[in-house]
Amino acid sequence: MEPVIVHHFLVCRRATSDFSQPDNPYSLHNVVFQLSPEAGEAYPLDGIDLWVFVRFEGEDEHEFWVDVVRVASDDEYEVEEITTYGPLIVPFGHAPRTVIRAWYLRGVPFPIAGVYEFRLRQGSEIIAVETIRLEE
Amino acid sequence: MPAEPEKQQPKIPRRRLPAKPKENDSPDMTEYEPIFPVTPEERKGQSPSHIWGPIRLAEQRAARAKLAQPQPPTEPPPEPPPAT
Repeated sequence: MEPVIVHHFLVCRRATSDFSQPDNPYSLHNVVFQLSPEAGEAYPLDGIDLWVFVRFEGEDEHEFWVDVVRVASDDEYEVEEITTYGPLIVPFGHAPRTVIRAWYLRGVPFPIAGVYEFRLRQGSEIIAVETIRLEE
Repeated sequence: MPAEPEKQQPKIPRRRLPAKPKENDSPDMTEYEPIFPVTPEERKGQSPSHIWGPIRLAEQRAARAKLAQPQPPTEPPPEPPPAT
């Protein structure tokens, strides 16, 4: 069986779907690279609603997880596990097929400012990573 | 007139073509809740590594694995043999 291949893995503030466009139903809004607390907010941020967009290909059915980790140290590449979402079940089908998904991650916690990674994980293997920055 | 230097082809790594999209694949925009932490109160007064760290993650995964295991069927105790 071929391994799952990730084409795109993005984090955004909002995603919408248009059922009248079945070939390309998803639209992404405000793809995230950097986030700042809004006026009056302070760390820890108890939850920011985000979306992850994935285009990948594979066959058969697979289970995925999205882990959120904070990169605690650039030098040693130490990470702190923040939270996890899943299981995200994707039935690809009997032959290799490309599948597109947008998943809503409710209330992602960000305890302090810093660099965070969203890791798309299949079992124990991380198959895609997206990095964002949380500013002071 | 100097000869025009040969145009060099850009070195683009060859990529395999993506597979065809899955047919009749309706949009999936499922909503997911974080598995932990749960509430701000839960974090209060405790180290973030305990609340959000690998220990908690391992506990959550162990709990999920336990739930996923099939429960052994409960059989009624064997009836005593009839008295003669």
